[in-house]
Amino acid sequence: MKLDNKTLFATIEQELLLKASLMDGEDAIHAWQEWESMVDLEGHPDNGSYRLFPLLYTNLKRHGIEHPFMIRLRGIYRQAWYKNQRLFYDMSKVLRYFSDAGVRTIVLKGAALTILHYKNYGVRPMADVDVLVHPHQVMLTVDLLRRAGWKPLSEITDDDLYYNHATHFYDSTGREFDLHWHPFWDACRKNNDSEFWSGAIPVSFTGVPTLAPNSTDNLLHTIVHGIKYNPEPPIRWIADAFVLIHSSNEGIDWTRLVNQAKYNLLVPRLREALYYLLTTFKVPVPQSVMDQLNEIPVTRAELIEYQERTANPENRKNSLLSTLAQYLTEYRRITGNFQITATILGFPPYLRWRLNKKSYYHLSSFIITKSIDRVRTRLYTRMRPNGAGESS
Amino acid sequence: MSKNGRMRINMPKVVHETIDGETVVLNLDNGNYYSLIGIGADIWGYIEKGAGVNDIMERLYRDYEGGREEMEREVNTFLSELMKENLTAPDGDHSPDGINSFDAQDDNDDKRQKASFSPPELNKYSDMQDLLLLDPIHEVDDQSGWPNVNENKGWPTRDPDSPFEHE
Repeated sequence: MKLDNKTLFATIEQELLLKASLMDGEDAIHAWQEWESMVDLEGHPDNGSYRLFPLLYTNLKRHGIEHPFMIRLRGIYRQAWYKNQRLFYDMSKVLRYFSDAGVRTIVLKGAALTILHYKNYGVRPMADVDVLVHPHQVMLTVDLLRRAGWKPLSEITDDDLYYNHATHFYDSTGREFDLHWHPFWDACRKNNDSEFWSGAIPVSFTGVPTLAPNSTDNLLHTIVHGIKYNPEPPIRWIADAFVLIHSSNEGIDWTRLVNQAKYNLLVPRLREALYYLLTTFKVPVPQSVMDQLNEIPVTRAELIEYQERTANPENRKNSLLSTLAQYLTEYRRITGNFQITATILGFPPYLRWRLNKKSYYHLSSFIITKSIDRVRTRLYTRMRPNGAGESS
Repeated sequence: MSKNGRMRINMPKVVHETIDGETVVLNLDNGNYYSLIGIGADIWGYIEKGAGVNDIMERLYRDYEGGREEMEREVNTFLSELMKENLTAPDGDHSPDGINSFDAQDDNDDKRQKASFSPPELNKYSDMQDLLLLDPIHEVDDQSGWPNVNENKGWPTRDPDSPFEHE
């Protein structure tokens, strides 16, 4: 598939598909005609495109498009509707179980977007439901899940609770469930989520009362989780952000959005994402917001981390220093430790957890071995004749 | 059920949506999926609006050409089938308010041409585990799409890398 230079965002074909699925009038119709002439409808679409087909179906139907492919699209829509209805029904039992035990919950991602913004069970395929609980209720929730027959993908340690944001559960029937104790992997600071909780909106999840993030927090959440490198561009966040901004009842609180991004060191991602939505999909982002984001100083470490997170792994620098800079920014964002002394003391434990090393001995051995390997590789590359050793 | 009896859709265990003239119904308890088209979809819509059996029959006599006895027999069979599948449940005898609100919606349709009556059908899909694994582009019927299998191609071998395997 032909990729745009920015593999982080959509390919040319995916952009057309997104426009055909989201936009109004001539913009949608022209995009559909162009997309349909470029792709092989009988071929195998990439995952990202396939997941948009139910949304494409509803938008084309709204525009009165008639085409033989609409029959397949309608079937894909029916299938997504069926799966989501069952998923919501099954998960409502879990949420009821939590609620009865006094566990407060916020539904995140697809579930929240489906209830509040898409308002249709058929347009956004989902594999699982993501639920946020307060950090102090995680172990109670884990216990409840175990008693209901769910198993965590790996055991949750104290370090996981401190540095991580979520873990995955599954049951014997293959159902999946993501338990979060912080909304952002990128900002797991203690007491950092109080605004996320206090701003949440009451919703009914198939009859079970729970909460969902307000539009502003949901937009930041959608963007932060969407903007990362993936071999296939993860384009669903674009549709989610587009629908979220256009369907928000209370509107986006742009000041809150910018402040949250600044506080959580997420400015580069938010800036890139909003610029892309504004210029490619005409999403109404106020110019003053873009100006504000452009004026916020971004540290070198933040930029390196952004590049590492969004670049194709094959093109990454992968130097020890850039990797450490990435982990250091992660650590500072997660813990909120910006003082030098606190960082010196706190970073090694984080690094040990991040690299999954049992002890500091294992951590030091790993770093020394990696450093020697890299020096050796560099020396070898410099010493060998031009082209020698290249695969044919 | 009496002739004046009413039914209700078995909510919240049963959910439904009308897509392009077809009503799809899902029994959440057992996962069975149903498709209603034509007269079957019309009758489902009447039930949703609170119509009693008599209301439904009156509407069908008015809108469709056919023998009353045959129509009544086929519709009763269909309504029994809906109940047997737990998609609907008895909801007592209908109230005059129910009739009025139901009838009032189509006062202007009296002069439309009658279509010929064909028995309503409830298409049931219970082997959903298999149907959910279908590739809805390449393995489905060209004229109706998922969940209708393209019988000419048969049930293919699964490709674990196919996007249809991972949602």
